[in-house]
Amino acid sequence: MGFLGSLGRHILKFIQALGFSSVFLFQALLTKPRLKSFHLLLKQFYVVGVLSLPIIIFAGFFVGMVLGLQGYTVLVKYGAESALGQMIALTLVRELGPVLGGLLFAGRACSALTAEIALLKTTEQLDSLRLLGVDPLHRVIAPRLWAGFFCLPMLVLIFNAVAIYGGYWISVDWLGIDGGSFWSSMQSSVDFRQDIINGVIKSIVFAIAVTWIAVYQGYVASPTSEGIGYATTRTVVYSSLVILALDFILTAVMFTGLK
Amino acid sequence: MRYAALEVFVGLFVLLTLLAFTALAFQVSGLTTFYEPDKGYEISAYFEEIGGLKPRSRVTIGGVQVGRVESITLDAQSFSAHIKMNIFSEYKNLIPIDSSASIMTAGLIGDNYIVIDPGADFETLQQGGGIDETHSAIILERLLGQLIFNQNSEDE
Amino acid sequence: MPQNSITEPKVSMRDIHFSRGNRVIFDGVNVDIYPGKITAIMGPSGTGKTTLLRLMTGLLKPDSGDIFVNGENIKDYSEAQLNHMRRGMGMLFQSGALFTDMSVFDNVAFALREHTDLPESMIHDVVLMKLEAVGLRGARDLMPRELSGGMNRRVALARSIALDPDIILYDEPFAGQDPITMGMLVKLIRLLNDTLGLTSVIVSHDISETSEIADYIYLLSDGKVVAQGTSEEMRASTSAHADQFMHGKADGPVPFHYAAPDYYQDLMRINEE
Repeated sequence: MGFLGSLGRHILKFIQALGFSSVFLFQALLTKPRLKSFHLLLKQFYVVGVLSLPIIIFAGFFVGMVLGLQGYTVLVKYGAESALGQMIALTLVRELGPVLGGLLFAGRACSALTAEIALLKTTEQLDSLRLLGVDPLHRVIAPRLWAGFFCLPMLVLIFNAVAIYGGYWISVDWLGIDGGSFWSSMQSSVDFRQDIINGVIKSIVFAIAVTWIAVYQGYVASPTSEGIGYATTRTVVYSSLVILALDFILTAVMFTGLK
Repeated sequence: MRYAALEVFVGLFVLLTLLAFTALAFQVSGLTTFYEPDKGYEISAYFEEIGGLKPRSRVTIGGVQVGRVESITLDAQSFSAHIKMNIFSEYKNLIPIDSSASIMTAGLIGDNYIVIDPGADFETLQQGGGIDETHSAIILERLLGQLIFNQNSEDE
Repeated sequence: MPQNSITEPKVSMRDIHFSRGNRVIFDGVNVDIYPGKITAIMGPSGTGKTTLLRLMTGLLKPDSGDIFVNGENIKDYSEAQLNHMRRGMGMLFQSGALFTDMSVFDNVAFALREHTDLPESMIHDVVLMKLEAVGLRGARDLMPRELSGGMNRRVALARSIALDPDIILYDEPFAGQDPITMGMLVKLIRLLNDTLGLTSVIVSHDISETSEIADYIYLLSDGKVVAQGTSEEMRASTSAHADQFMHGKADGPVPFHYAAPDYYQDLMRINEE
């Protein structure tokens, strides 16, 4: 009974949190956009997007190079090293781009979002906004949500492009694969709608999930220095797990049955 | 952070995204529907067996890519594959009308592609022209099967 | 009612019950705030004085009981209605709660930009007037992190009066301030109340400063109002609670010792197995 009871309580608590966070999400998003709030959105694009660029570009370049090296050692055994471009591109646009991009985003941008909102709460700045007659859901939460929704897909596109060029550099300049066959094997197997667009859809789904988690965790964090730490950790853990789980589901829906 | 600098950085971010998207669309997936830099011309051929040939596979002469596969359909009368190929415009008036086409495999398990062996005729293939002589893809399993079958019949 | 019963109270709290988890914070509290007066809510730390302010502003909702602001029950107000009501209220948070990503000027201008369509030149003038009132016109370009604790609180005060509220709530305005700042804040609170015709509520446990300016004092303890009156009445009060608190006695109705088993038994470990 003790075990079942606590299991039941946890499930109930989870469902309650899910319900509350959904209401929270809709209240934040369903607001009339105002011209005045445009610069808030711009600022968040900078904080969430531009500041994540260095890590995304750096990681992308190295992931591409590693894929090139590893793929070469396998493919060369079967004399199929000309398919290296295809392998790199498909792995990246279908899986690694959205997943690694999402994980990096969770670690870099989402943790910062949670910590920032939790700190605003701890220092009574959110209450202070309410007292000045401004709803923090509109003023603080909404621009961060929108920025997250847009920035992750943008970052993933950049990640993919950089990684593919990193792979190209390794394959062509280092391993001596013909540049033409690198691109043509890629072009003959990567489909714009099926691969590129599906990859983008994946990254949009991840973006909504992780930004939602980050902003919500910050908003409900207990207003102490300990609470900020817990909330930040929870954000990184939850969003990483959610990305991996969602990726499995989306891959099953999008790519099974494809060649 | 001044407001103007903020705008510049976010603008650069958006620009970078557009660049990345363009690269992925055209360079990586070889998208041609939005923008066609090279109209080229179309020729067709019938093959008994095309193996793993796919739309946008390479078409080569002497290892040089001269075009790509445009579409693959099944001909209802002959049950053979009807392949339409787009040949780049720089190879106009070049491919003799008596050329032959075969489907090859890159490496042992690589992609399939079409190789055109040029003939000797002075007349060249034009838009809508067809290649009559074709060699099907070599299917490894069948080849092995034949080999084993021949071995067996020699033994007897 | 002990005060002039002809004027309606600005804020009136009726039989408020509130608990957090298993801890009962308010167990039937009645408080009236009269217009034009400085009302102090005093009591030992941990008695939920700040919570009372949060209830008044609708940041928290009571478990039961009614809160009337300007004669209207705010129990069933939506968030939008609450936001509208709060524009008539200023609150000085204990930490100041300045927006850390904005300069002093922008902090004070925030509510004006948010709720009015005043041209920037007009906002500029209003902000400078408010900053002048707290003596910090020269600090307009500083960021909150560059301010001392006392300056921080004065900027927060300027911000909370930016929209010319008619009620202003001070949460522990004197806590942790040096004597000069305390004197300055006392002067400011009195000045603002009298010149702008505000209604002020101070939550504090600093007896000397608070009783110096408060017109009326409520003493909270154990979730109840245990004593109330003007500061003279309170000082002369025979109530054990008022006596202990007003004269700073270590022991009394609020015990020095946290609830514990008998000292001798505890030392001798009699109850431990």
